[in-house]
Amino acid sequence: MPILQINKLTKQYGKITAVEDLSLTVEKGNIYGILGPNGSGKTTTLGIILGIIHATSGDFRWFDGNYGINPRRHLGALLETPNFYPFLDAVDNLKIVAHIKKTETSQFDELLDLVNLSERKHSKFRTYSLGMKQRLAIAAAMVGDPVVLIFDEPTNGLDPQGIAEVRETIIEISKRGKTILLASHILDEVEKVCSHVAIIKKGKLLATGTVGSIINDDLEVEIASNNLSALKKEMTKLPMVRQWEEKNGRLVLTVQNGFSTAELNQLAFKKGITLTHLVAKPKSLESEFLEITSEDSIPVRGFPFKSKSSLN
Amino acid sequence: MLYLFQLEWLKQKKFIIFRVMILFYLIALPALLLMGKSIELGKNPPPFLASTDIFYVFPTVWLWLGYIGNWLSFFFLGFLAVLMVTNEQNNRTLRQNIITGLSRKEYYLSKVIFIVFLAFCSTLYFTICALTFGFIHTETIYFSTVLKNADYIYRYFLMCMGYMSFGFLLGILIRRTGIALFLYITYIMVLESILRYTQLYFFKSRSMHFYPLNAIEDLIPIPFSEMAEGFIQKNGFSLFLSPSEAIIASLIYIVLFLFLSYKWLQRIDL
Repeated sequence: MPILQINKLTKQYGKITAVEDLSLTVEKGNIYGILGPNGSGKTTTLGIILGIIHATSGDFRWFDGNYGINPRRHLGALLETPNFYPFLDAVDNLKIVAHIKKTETSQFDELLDLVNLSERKHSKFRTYSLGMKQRLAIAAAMVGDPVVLIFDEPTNGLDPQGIAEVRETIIEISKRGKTILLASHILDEVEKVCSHVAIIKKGKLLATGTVGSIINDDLEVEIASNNLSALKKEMTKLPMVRQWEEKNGRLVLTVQNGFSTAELNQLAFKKGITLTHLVAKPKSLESEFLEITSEDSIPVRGFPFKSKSSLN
Repeated sequence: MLYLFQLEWLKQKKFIIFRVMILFYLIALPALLLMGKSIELGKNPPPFLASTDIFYVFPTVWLWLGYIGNWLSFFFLGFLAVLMVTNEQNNRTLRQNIITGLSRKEYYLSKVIFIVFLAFCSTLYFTICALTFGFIHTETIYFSTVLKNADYIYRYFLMCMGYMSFGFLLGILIRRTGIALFLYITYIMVLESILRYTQLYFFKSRSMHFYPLNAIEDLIPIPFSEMAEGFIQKNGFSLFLSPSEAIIASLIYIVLFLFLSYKWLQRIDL
Protein backbone atom coordinates (compact mmCIF):
# COMPACT_ATOMS: atom_id res chain seq x y z
CA MET A 1 0.00 0.00 0.00
CA PRO A 2 1.46 3.36 -0.92
CA ILE A 3 1.55 5.75 2.03
CA LEU A 4 1.26 8.86 -0.10
CA GLN A 5 0.46 9.45 -3.73
CA ILE A 6 0.82 12.94 -5.12
CA ASN A 7 -0.68 13.43 -8.53
CA LYS A 8 0.13 16.42 -10.76
CA LEU A 9 0.05 18.90 -7.91
CA THR A 10 0.22 22.57 -8.87
CA LYS A 11 0.09 25.66 -6.69
CA GLN A 12 0.10 29.17 -8.04
CA TYR A 13 0.38 32.37 -6.07
CA GLY A 14 -0.79 34.90 -8.60
CA LYS A 15 1.71 34.68 -11.42
CA ILE A 16 4.24 32.75 -9.42
CA THR A 17 4.12 28.99 -9.66
CA ALA A 18 5.36 27.53 -6.40
CA VAL A 19 4.74 23.90 -7.28
CA GLU A 20 4.30 22.67 -10.84
CA ASP A 21 2.82 19.38 -11.94
CA LEU A 22 4.45 17.44 -9.15
CA SER A 23 3.84 13.71 -8.86
CA LEU A 24 5.45 11.25 -6.52
CA THR A 25 4.71 8.15 -4.51
CA VAL A 26 5.97 7.27 -1.06
CA GLU A 27 5.88 3.63 -0.07
CA LYS A 28 5.66 2.23 3.43
CA GLY A 29 9.00 2.22 5.23
CA ASN A 30 10.65 4.74 2.93
CA ILE A 31 12.78 7.45 4.44
CA TYR A 32 11.91 9.85 1.70
CA GLY A 33 13.97 12.98 1.23
CA ILE A 34 12.66 15.99 -0.63
CA LEU A 35 15.72 17.88 -1.68
CA GLY A 36 15.80 21.35 -3.13
CA PRO A 37 17.11 24.82 -2.46
CA ASN A 38 15.20 27.31 -0.34
CA GLY A 39 12.11 28.50 -2.14
CA SER A 40 11.93 25.46 -4.40
CA GLY A 41 8.44 24.54 -3.25
CA LYS A 42 9.22 21.93 -0.61
CA THR A 43 7.26 23.57 2.18
CA THR A 44 4.40 24.48 -0.15
CA THR A 45 4.16 20.83 -1.23
CA LEU A 46 4.15 19.65 2.37
CA GLY A 47 1.66 22.39 3.27
CA ILE A 48 -0.72 21.12 0.61
CA ILE A 49 -0.54 17.48 1.65
CA LEU A 50 -1.03 18.57 5.27
CA GLY A 51 -4.19 20.50 4.53
CA ILE A 52 -3.08 24.04 5.29
CA ILE A 53 -2.67 25.19 1.69
CA HIS A 54 -5.18 24.68 -1.07
CA ALA A 55 -3.73 23.30 -4.29
CA THR A 56 -4.53 25.11 -7.51
CA SER A 57 -4.87 21.78 -9.29
CA GLY A 58 -3.91 18.16 -8.89
CA ASP A 59 -4.59 15.95 -5.93
CA PHE A 60 -2.98 13.72 -3.34
CA ARG A 61 -4.02 10.68 -1.40
CA TRP A 62 -2.84 9.41 1.96
CA PHE A 63 -2.88 5.72 2.87
CA ASP A 64 -4.65 4.87 -0.38
CA GLY A 65 -7.72 6.64 1.00
CA ASN A 66 -8.06 4.23 3.91
CA TYR A 67 -8.44 6.91 6.57
CA GLY A 68 -10.93 9.13 4.77
CA ILE A 69 -10.50 12.77 3.87
CA ASN A 70 -8.72 13.81 7.06
CA PRO A 71 -5.92 11.30 7.70
CA ARG A 72 -3.77 13.88 9.45
CA ARG A 73 -4.44 12.37 12.85
CA HIS A 74 -2.34 9.42 11.67
CA LEU A 75 0.58 11.64 10.68
CA GLY A 76 3.10 13.49 12.74
CA ALA A 77 4.50 16.62 11.20
CA LEU A 78 6.92 19.41 11.87
CA LEU A 79 6.55 22.13 9.28
CA GLU A 80 8.99 25.04 9.22
CA THR A 81 9.08 26.64 12.63
CA PRO A 82 7.85 24.87 15.76
CA ASN A 83 4.46 26.33 16.64
CA PHE A 84 3.17 26.08 20.17
CA TYR A 85 1.24 28.07 22.72
CA PRO A 86 3.92 30.31 24.26
CA PHE A 87 2.18 30.64 27.63
CA LEU A 88 1.90 26.88 28.15
CA ASP A 89 4.63 24.46 29.22
CA ALA A 90 5.81 21.43 27.26
CA VAL A 91 3.36 19.04 28.90
CA ASP A 92 0.33 21.28 28.39
CA ASN A 93 1.28 21.83 24.78
CA LEU A 94 1.62 18.10 24.22
CA LYS A 95 -1.75 17.61 25.91
CA ILE A 96 -3.36 19.78 23.26
CA VAL A 97 -1.63 17.79 20.52
CA ALA A 98 -2.79 14.52 22.09
CA HIS A 99 -6.30 15.89 22.44
CA ILE A 100 -6.44 16.82 18.76
CA LYS A 101 -5.05 13.43 17.81
CA LYS A 102 -7.59 11.78 20.13
CA THR A 103 -4.84 9.72 21.69
CA GLU A 104 -3.56 8.96 25.17
CA THR A 105 -1.56 11.39 27.25
CA SER A 106 0.46 8.80 29.17
CA GLN A 107 3.51 8.59 26.90
CA PHE A 108 4.72 12.16 27.41
CA ASP A 109 7.59 11.33 29.76
CA GLU A 110 9.03 8.81 27.36
CA LEU A 111 8.74 11.26 24.46
CA LEU A 112 10.31 14.13 26.38
CA ASP A 113 13.12 11.79 27.37
CA LEU A 114 13.68 10.88 23.75
CA VAL A 115 14.14 14.52 22.78
CA ASN A 116 16.01 15.35 25.95
CA LEU A 117 13.55 17.85 27.37
CA SER A 118 12.48 16.15 30.60
CA GLU A 119 14.23 18.64 32.82
CA ARG A 120 12.42 21.59 31.29
CA LYS A 121 9.04 20.02 30.80
CA HIS A 122 7.33 22.45 33.16
CA SER A 123 8.90 25.58 31.71
CA LYS A 124 6.77 27.75 29.50
CA PHE A 125 7.37 27.30 25.78
CA ARG A 126 8.35 30.94 25.30
CA THR A 127 11.38 30.45 27.54
CA TYR A 128 12.83 27.72 25.30
CA SER A 129 15.85 28.07 23.07
CA LEU A 130 15.42 27.40 19.37
CA GLY A 131 16.94 23.94 19.70
CA MET A 132 14.58 23.06 22.53
CA LYS A 133 11.60 24.33 20.56
CA GLN A 134 12.65 22.19 17.63
CA ARG A 135 13.04 19.13 19.84
CA LEU A 136 9.64 19.71 21.42
CA ALA A 137 8.20 19.88 17.91
CA ILE A 138 9.74 16.49 17.14
CA ALA A 139 8.23 15.10 20.32
CA ALA A 140 4.87 16.61 19.36
CA ALA A 141 5.09 15.01 15.94
CA MET A 142 5.49 11.64 17.63
CA VAL A 143 2.50 11.93 19.93
CA GLY A 144 0.10 9.10 19.22
CA ASP A 145 2.84 7.05 17.61
CA PRO A 146 1.94 7.93 14.01
CA VAL A 147 3.07 5.61 11.21
CA VAL A 148 4.26 8.50 9.07
CA LEU A 149 6.44 11.41 10.17
CA ILE A 150 7.07 14.56 8.19
CA PHE A 151 9.97 16.84 8.94
CA ASP A 152 10.57 20.08 7.12
CA GLU A 153 14.08 21.43 7.51
CA PRO A 154 14.36 19.90 10.98
CA THR A 155 17.92 21.07 11.52
CA ASN A 156 17.39 24.63 10.35
CA GLY A 157 18.92 27.18 12.64
CA LEU A 158 20.44 24.66 15.01
CA ASP A 159 24.04 24.55 16.17
CA PRO A 160 26.22 21.59 15.09
CA GLN A 161 25.44 19.64 18.22
CA GLY A 162 21.73 20.28 17.78
CA ILE A 163 21.95 19.18 14.15
CA ALA A 164 23.68 15.95 15.13
CA GLU A 165 21.09 15.29 17.84
CA VAL A 166 18.15 15.86 15.56
CA ARG A 167 19.62 13.63 12.85
CA GLU A 168 20.28 10.90 15.35
CA THR A 169 16.73 11.19 16.61
CA ILE A 170 15.38 10.87 13.07
CA ILE A 171 17.53 7.83 12.32
CA GLU A 172 16.44 6.37 15.64
CA ILE A 173 12.79 6.91 14.70
CA SER A 174 13.29 5.39 11.27
CA LYS A 175 14.59 2.21 12.88
CA ARG A 176 11.18 1.76 14.45
CA GLY A 177 9.75 1.06 11.03
CA LYS A 178 8.21 4.47 10.46
CA THR A 179 7.79 6.07 7.09
CA ILE A 180 9.50 9.43 7.08
CA LEU A 181 9.26 12.38 4.75
CA LEU A 182 12.18 14.74 5.17
CA ALA A 183 12.42 18.03 3.31
CA SER A 184 15.84 19.59 3.26
CA HIS A 185 18.10 21.82 1.24
CA ILE A 186 21.18 20.02 2.45
CA LEU A 187 22.40 17.21 0.22
CA ASP A 188 24.52 15.77 2.96
CA GLU A 189 21.57 15.50 5.32
CA VAL A 190 19.37 13.68 2.84
CA GLU A 191 22.22 11.37 1.93
CA LYS A 192 22.92 10.46 5.52
CA VAL A 193 19.36 9.88 6.58
CA CYS A 194 17.21 8.94 3.59
CA SER A 195 16.58 5.84 1.53
CA HIS A 196 14.75 7.62 -1.29
CA VAL A 197 14.97 11.11 -2.64
CA ALA A 198 13.04 13.50 -4.83
CA ILE A 199 14.84 16.54 -6.14
CA ILE A 200 12.78 19.66 -6.60
CA LYS A 201 13.73 22.93 -8.12
CA LYS A 202 11.50 25.90 -8.79
CA GLY A 203 8.49 23.76 -8.01
CA LYS A 204 9.36 21.10 -10.55
CA LEU A 205 10.35 17.55 -9.87
CA LEU A 206 13.76 16.87 -11.39
CA ALA A 207 14.30 13.29 -10.33
CA THR A 208 13.16 10.60 -7.94
CA GLY A 209 14.65 7.30 -6.92
CA THR A 210 16.67 5.59 -4.28
CA VAL A 211 19.44 7.62 -2.78
CA GLY A 212 21.97 5.08 -4.05
CA SER A 213 20.87 5.47 -7.63
CA ILE A 214 20.77 9.24 -7.57
CA ILE A 215 23.45 10.36 -5.23
CA ASN A 216 26.64 8.45 -5.94
CA ASP A 217 30.11 8.88 -7.30
CA ASP A 218 29.53 6.81 -10.39
CA LEU A 219 30.81 7.99 -13.69
CA GLU A 220 28.72 8.19 -16.79
CA VAL A 221 30.54 7.31 -19.98
CA GLU A 222 29.21 7.59 -23.49
CA ILE A 223 30.83 5.28 -26.01
CA ALA A 224 30.24 4.30 -29.61
CA SER A 225 31.75 1.95 -32.13
CA ASN A 226 31.14 0.90 -35.70
CA ASN A 227 29.89 -2.40 -34.36
CA LEU A 228 27.42 -1.34 -31.71
CA SER A 229 25.95 -4.76 -31.00
CA ALA A 230 29.36 -6.27 -30.29
CA LEU A 231 30.23 -3.32 -28.15
CA LYS A 232 27.01 -3.70 -26.19
CA LYS A 233 27.57 -7.40 -25.73
CA GLU A 234 31.06 -6.98 -24.35
CA MET A 235 30.73 -3.83 -22.34
CA THR A 236 27.54 -4.64 -20.46
CA LYS A 237 29.19 -7.78 -19.16
CA LEU A 238 31.87 -5.84 -17.34
CA PRO A 239 31.51 -5.94 -13.54
CA MET A 240 32.14 -2.24 -13.03
CA VAL A 241 29.29 -1.28 -15.33
CA ARG A 242 26.28 -0.74 -13.09
CA GLN A 243 23.78 0.43 -15.64
CA TRP A 244 23.63 0.89 -19.35
CA GLU A 245 21.38 2.45 -21.88
CA GLU A 246 21.38 2.79 -25.65
CA LYS A 247 20.91 6.31 -26.85
CA ASN A 248 21.15 7.74 -30.36
CA GLY A 249 23.41 4.96 -31.62
CA ARG A 250 25.65 5.31 -28.60
CA LEU A 251 25.98 3.40 -25.42
CA VAL A 252 25.67 5.23 -22.13
CA LEU A 253 27.30 3.35 -19.27
CA THR A 254 27.19 4.08 -15.59
CA VAL A 255 30.58 3.00 -14.37
CA GLN A 256 31.58 2.43 -10.79
CA ASN A 257 33.72 5.18 -9.41
CA GLY A 258 37.48 4.63 -9.63
CA PHE A 259 37.62 3.44 -13.19
CA SER A 260 39.05 5.72 -15.77
CA THR A 261 38.05 6.13 -19.36
CA ALA A 262 41.48 4.92 -20.38
CA GLU A 263 40.87 1.56 -18.71
CA LEU A 264 37.58 1.29 -20.50
CA ASN A 265 39.19 2.01 -23.83
CA GLN A 266 41.85 -0.61 -23.15
CA LEU A 267 39.29 -3.24 -22.26
CA ALA A 268 37.39 -2.57 -25.45
CA PHE A 269 40.53 -2.69 -27.50
CA LYS A 270 41.45 -6.10 -26.01
CA LYS A 271 38.13 -7.44 -27.18
CA GLY A 272 38.90 -6.18 -30.63
CA ILE A 273 36.56 -3.26 -30.65
CA THR A 274 37.73 0.15 -31.66
CA LEU A 275 35.88 2.97 -30.05
CA THR A 276 34.84 5.80 -32.31
CA HIS A 277 33.53 7.90 -29.48
CA LEU A 278 34.40 8.12 -25.84
CA VAL A 279 33.15 10.87 -23.56
CA ALA A 280 33.02 10.91 -19.79
CA LYS A 281 30.09 12.93 -18.57
CA PRO A 282 29.02 14.09 -15.23
CA LYS A 283 25.76 12.46 -14.38
CA SER A 284 23.01 14.85 -15.27
CA LEU A 285 21.51 14.59 -11.81
CA GLU A 286 24.80 15.35 -10.24
CA SER A 287 24.97 18.47 -12.31
CA GLU A 288 21.48 19.39 -11.24
CA PHE A 289 22.69 18.82 -7.78
CA LEU A 290 25.54 21.14 -8.34
CA GLU A 291 23.23 23.81 -9.50
CA ILE A 292 21.00 23.26 -6.53
CA THR A 293 23.76 23.29 -4.00
CA SER A 294 25.69 26.12 -5.59
CA GLU A 295 22.62 28.32 -5.33
CA ASP A 296 22.80 27.70 -1.65
CA SER A 297 25.38 28.71 0.84
CA ILE A 298 28.20 26.45 -0.35
CA PRO A 299 29.68 27.19 -3.74
CA VAL A 300 31.03 24.02 -5.28
CA ARG A 301 33.79 24.11 -7.85
CA GLY A 302 35.79 21.45 -9.60
CA PHE A 303 34.57 18.32 -11.21
CA PRO A 304 30.86 17.82 -10.77
CA PHE A 305 31.12 14.21 -9.63
CA LYS A 306 33.33 15.35 -6.81
CA SER A 307 30.56 17.53 -5.44
CA LYS A 308 29.68 15.12 -2.74
CA SER A 309 33.10 14.93 -1.19
CA SER A 310 33.52 18.67 -1.30
CA LEU A 311 30.31 19.04 0.62
CA ASN A 312 31.37 16.72 3.38
CA MET B 1 -19.05 18.83 20.95
CA LEU B 2 -17.58 18.16 24.36
CA TYR B 3 -14.36 17.19 22.61
CA LEU B 4 -14.18 20.57 20.88
CA PHE B 5 -15.06 22.47 24.03
CA GLN B 6 -12.35 20.64 25.98
CA LEU B 7 -9.83 21.51 23.30
CA GLU B 8 -10.58 25.22 23.58
CA TRP B 9 -10.59 24.95 27.35
CA LEU B 10 -7.09 23.41 27.33
CA LYS B 11 -5.93 26.37 25.27
CA GLN B 12 -7.58 29.12 27.31
CA LYS B 13 -7.48 28.01 30.92
CA LYS B 14 -3.87 29.03 31.56
CA PHE B 15 -3.96 32.10 29.35
CA ILE B 16 -3.33 34.96 31.77
CA ILE B 17 -5.15 37.66 29.78
CA PHE B 18 -8.18 35.39 29.59
CA ARG B 19 -8.23 34.97 33.36
CA VAL B 20 -7.68 38.65 34.06
CA MET B 21 -10.40 39.77 31.67
CA ILE B 22 -12.93 37.32 33.05
CA LEU B 23 -12.04 38.38 36.58
CA PHE B 24 -12.49 42.06 35.72
CA TYR B 25 -15.79 41.31 34.10
CA LEU B 26 -17.01 39.43 37.14
CA ILE B 27 -15.95 42.18 39.53
CA ALA B 28 -16.91 45.18 37.43
CA LEU B 29 -20.49 44.16 36.67
CA PRO B 30 -21.78 44.43 40.25
CA ALA B 31 -19.13 46.95 41.35
CA LEU B 32 -20.06 49.56 38.75
CA LEU B 33 -23.71 49.30 39.68
CA LEU B 34 -22.83 49.69 43.36
CA MET B 35 -20.97 52.89 42.52
CA GLY B 36 -24.43 54.33 41.92
CA LYS B 37 -24.79 54.46 45.70
CA SER B 38 -22.26 57.25 45.83
CA ILE B 39 -24.14 59.49 43.40
CA GLU B 40 -25.31 62.70 45.08
CA LEU B 41 -28.64 63.59 43.55
CA GLY B 42 -28.89 67.14 44.95
CA LYS B 43 -32.12 68.97 45.70
CA ASN B 44 -33.83 68.77 42.33
CA PRO B 45 -32.99 65.46 40.73
CA PRO B 46 -34.17 64.91 37.14
CA PRO B 47 -37.57 63.24 37.08
CA PHE B 48 -36.31 59.95 35.67
CA LEU B 49 -33.76 59.65 38.45
CA ALA B 50 -35.74 60.51 41.55
CA SER B 51 -33.72 58.14 43.70
CA THR B 52 -30.67 55.94 43.26
CA ASP B 53 -32.87 53.07 44.37
CA ILE B 54 -34.02 52.52 40.81
CA PHE B 55 -30.60 51.06 40.07
CA TYR B 56 -31.25 48.17 42.43
CA VAL B 57 -34.95 47.41 42.60
CA PHE B 58 -37.16 45.29 40.41
CA PRO B 59 -37.91 45.79 37.61
CA THR B 60 -35.43 48.56 36.75
CA VAL B 61 -32.39 46.67 38.02
CA TRP B 62 -32.47 44.63 34.79
CA LEU B 63 -32.13 47.80 32.73
CA TRP B 64 -29.31 49.40 34.66
CA LEU B 65 -27.25 46.29 35.25
CA GLY B 66 -27.86 45.32 31.63
CA TYR B 67 -26.56 48.65 30.43
CA ILE B 68 -23.37 48.25 32.46
CA GLY B 69 -23.08 44.71 31.10
CA ASN B 70 -23.45 46.13 27.60
CA TRP B 71 -20.28 48.19 28.02
CA LEU B 72 -18.38 45.40 29.75
CA SER B 73 -19.35 42.86 27.11
CA PHE B 74 -18.37 45.19 24.32
CA PHE B 75 -15.02 45.62 25.96
CA PHE B 76 -14.02 42.37 27.64
CA LEU B 77 -15.96 39.73 25.73
CA GLY B 78 -15.33 41.37 22.37
CA PHE B 79 -11.62 41.60 23.15
CA LEU B 80 -11.50 37.96 24.18
CA ALA B 81 -13.19 36.92 20.96
CA VAL B 82 -10.62 38.87 18.94
CA LEU B 83 -7.71 37.48 20.97
CA MET B 84 -9.00 33.93 20.79
CA VAL B 85 -8.40 33.86 17.05
CA THR B 86 -5.59 36.35 16.47
CA ASN B 87 -3.44 34.60 19.08
CA GLU B 88 -3.77 31.34 17.20
CA GLN B 89 -2.81 33.01 13.96
CA ASN B 90 0.09 35.01 15.39
CA ASN B 91 1.54 31.98 17.18
CA ARG B 92 0.78 29.95 14.05
CA THR B 93 -0.94 27.42 16.26
CA LEU B 94 -4.01 27.41 14.01
CA ARG B 95 -1.76 26.13 11.26
CA GLN B 96 -0.26 23.61 13.66
CA ASN B 97 -3.70 22.49 14.86
CA ILE B 98 -4.69 21.69 11.29
CA ILE B 99 -1.41 19.88 10.62
CA THR B 100 -1.86 17.91 13.83
CA GLY B 101 -5.21 16.66 12.60
CA LEU B 102 -7.99 19.12 13.38
CA SER B 103 -10.20 19.97 10.43
CA ARG B 104 -10.91 23.61 9.71
CA LYS B 105 -14.54 22.99 10.55
CA GLU B 106 -13.62 21.49 13.93
CA TYR B 107 -11.37 24.44 14.68
CA TYR B 108 -14.17 26.84 13.79
CA LEU B 109 -16.72 24.95 15.84
CA SER B 110 -14.45 24.77 18.88
CA LYS B 111 -14.22 28.57 18.82
CA VAL B 112 -17.94 29.11 18.28
CA ILE B 113 -18.83 26.66 21.01
CA PHE B 114 -16.53 28.51 23.37
CA ILE B 115 -18.08 31.84 22.41
CA VAL B 116 -21.55 30.46 23.10
CA PHE B 117 -20.24 29.14 26.41
CA LEU B 118 -18.85 32.55 27.37
CA ALA B 119 -22.09 34.28 26.37
CA PHE B 120 -24.06 31.76 28.37
CA CYS B 121 -21.91 32.19 31.49
CA SER B 122 -22.03 35.98 31.25
CA THR B 123 -25.78 35.91 30.93
CA LEU B 124 -26.09 33.54 33.85
CA TYR B 125 -23.89 35.81 35.94
CA PHE B 126 -25.88 38.86 34.88
CA THR B 127 -29.10 37.11 35.87
CA ILE B 128 -27.74 36.06 39.25
CA CYS B 129 -26.45 39.57 39.98
CA ALA B 130 -29.70 41.24 38.94
CA LEU B 131 -31.78 38.84 41.02
CA THR B 132 -29.50 39.29 44.03
CA PHE B 133 -29.63 43.08 43.89
CA GLY B 134 -33.34 43.01 43.28
CA PHE B 135 -34.20 40.71 46.12
CA ILE B 136 -32.03 42.63 48.57
CA HIS B 137 -33.29 46.09 47.65
CA THR B 138 -36.92 45.64 46.66
CA GLU B 139 -39.25 46.00 49.63
CA THR B 140 -42.30 44.20 48.39
CA ILE B 141 -41.59 41.57 45.87
CA TYR B 142 -44.22 40.56 43.37
CA PHE B 143 -43.42 37.82 40.97
CA SER B 144 -44.71 39.98 38.14
CA THR B 145 -42.36 42.89 38.90
CA VAL B 146 -39.39 40.55 39.16
CA LEU B 147 -40.09 39.18 35.72
CA LYS B 148 -41.31 42.40 34.13
CA ASN B 149 -38.05 43.00 32.33
CA ALA B 150 -36.82 39.44 32.36
CA ASP B 151 -36.68 39.46 28.58
CA TYR B 152 -33.42 41.27 29.22
CA ILE B 153 -31.94 37.87 30.00
CA TYR B 154 -32.09 36.53 26.50
CA ARG B 155 -31.44 39.96 25.01
CA TYR B 156 -28.28 40.04 27.11
CA PHE B 157 -27.25 36.67 25.69
CA LEU B 158 -27.80 37.88 22.14
CA MET B 159 -25.82 41.01 22.88
CA CYS B 160 -22.83 38.98 24.12
CA MET B 161 -23.06 36.80 21.03
CA GLY B 162 -23.26 39.90 18.85
CA TYR B 163 -20.11 41.53 20.18
CA MET B 164 -18.18 38.30 20.20
CA SER B 165 -19.19 37.17 16.71
CA PHE B 166 -18.14 40.59 15.39
CA GLY B 167 -14.79 40.36 17.19
CA PHE B 168 -14.38 36.80 15.98
CA LEU B 169 -14.92 37.80 12.35
CA LEU B 170 -12.51 40.73 12.63
CA GLY B 171 -9.88 38.49 14.24
CA ILE B 172 -10.16 35.91 11.48
CA LEU B 173 -10.09 38.49 8.71
CA ILE B 174 -7.30 40.67 10.04
CA ARG B 175 -5.09 38.17 11.92
CA ARG B 176 -2.98 40.84 13.65
CA THR B 177 -4.04 41.35 17.25
CA GLY B 178 -3.29 45.07 17.46
CA ILE B 179 -4.94 46.07 14.23
CA ALA B 180 -7.96 43.86 14.84
CA LEU B 181 -8.51 45.29 18.34
CA PHE B 182 -8.04 48.82 17.08
CA LEU B 183 -10.55 48.30 14.32
CA TYR B 184 -12.97 46.62 16.69
CA ILE B 185 -12.98 49.63 18.99
CA THR B 186 -12.90 52.34 16.36
CA TYR B 187 -15.61 50.74 14.29
CA ILE B 188 -17.98 50.44 17.21
CA MET B 189 -17.19 53.73 18.91
CA VAL B 190 -16.45 56.02 15.98
CA LEU B 191 -16.76 54.64 12.49
CA GLU B 192 -20.28 53.32 12.67
CA SER B 193 -21.55 56.54 14.25
CA ILE B 194 -19.98 58.56 11.48
CA LEU B 195 -21.62 56.35 8.88
CA ARG B 196 -24.97 56.49 10.61
CA TYR B 197 -25.08 60.26 11.11
CA THR B 198 -23.81 60.92 7.61
CA GLN B 199 -26.67 58.83 6.39
CA LEU B 200 -29.08 60.71 8.65
CA TYR B 201 -27.83 63.99 7.27
CA PHE B 202 -28.80 62.98 3.76
CA PHE B 203 -31.85 60.78 4.39
CA LYS B 204 -33.96 61.25 7.47
CA SER B 205 -34.79 57.59 7.81
CA ARG B 206 -34.88 55.02 10.56
CA SER B 207 -32.66 52.79 8.47
CA MET B 208 -29.74 54.55 10.15
CA HIS B 209 -30.45 52.44 13.23
CA PHE B 210 -30.03 49.13 11.47
CA TYR B 211 -26.26 49.18 11.31
CA PRO B 212 -24.93 45.97 12.88
CA LEU B 213 -23.33 47.20 16.06
CA ASN B 214 -26.07 49.73 16.75
CA ALA B 215 -28.63 46.97 16.52
CA ILE B 216 -26.60 44.86 18.94
CA GLU B 217 -26.20 47.83 21.27
CA ASP B 218 -29.93 48.57 21.16
CA LEU B 219 -30.68 45.10 22.53
CA ILE B 220 -29.95 46.70 25.88
CA PRO B 221 -30.25 50.47 25.34
CA ILE B 222 -29.44 53.35 27.63
CA PRO B 223 -32.08 53.23 30.39
CA PHE B 224 -32.89 56.95 30.54
CA SER B 225 -34.43 57.09 27.10
CA GLU B 226 -36.07 60.38 28.13
CA MET B 227 -32.76 61.93 27.22
CA ALA B 228 -33.45 61.05 23.66
CA GLU B 229 -36.56 63.15 23.34
CA GLY B 230 -34.70 65.92 21.63
CA PHE B 231 -33.80 63.43 18.94
CA ILE B 232 -37.44 62.47 18.43
CA GLN B 233 -38.53 66.07 18.11
CA LYS B 234 -35.86 66.81 15.60
CA ASN B 235 -36.11 63.72 13.43
CA GLY B 236 -39.58 62.39 14.06
CA PHE B 237 -38.48 58.92 15.13
CA SER B 238 -36.94 57.34 18.20
CA LEU B 239 -33.24 57.18 18.88
CA PHE B 240 -33.53 53.44 19.47
CA LEU B 241 -34.73 50.38 17.69
CA SER B 242 -37.70 48.65 19.25
CA PRO B 243 -36.66 45.51 21.16
CA SER B 244 -38.09 43.16 18.55
CA GLU B 245 -36.37 45.04 15.73
CA ALA B 246 -33.08 44.90 17.62
CA ILE B 247 -33.50 41.18 18.27
CA ILE B 248 -34.25 40.30 14.66
CA ALA B 249 -31.53 42.56 13.25
CA SER B 250 -28.96 41.22 15.74
CA LEU B 251 -29.85 37.64 14.96
CA ILE B 252 -29.35 38.27 11.27
CA TYR B 253 -26.00 39.96 11.88
CA ILE B 254 -24.76 37.24 14.24
CA VAL B 255 -25.57 34.56 11.69
CA LEU B 256 -23.96 36.64 8.98
CA PHE B 257 -20.75 37.24 10.98
CA LEU B 258 -20.43 33.58 11.89
CA PHE B 259 -21.19 32.49 8.35
CA LEU B 260 -18.58 34.83 6.86
CA SER B 261 -16.01 33.68 9.43
CA TYR B 262 -16.64 30.08 8.45
CA LYS B 263 -16.39 30.73 4.72
CA TRP B 264 -13.23 32.76 5.09
CA LEU B 265 -11.59 30.17 7.30
CA GLN B 266 -12.34 27.45 4.77
CA ARG B 267 -10.91 29.47 1.92
CA ILE B 268 -7.61 30.83 3.14
CA ASP B 269 -4.16 29.28 3.01
CA LEU B 270 -2.77 29.18 6.51
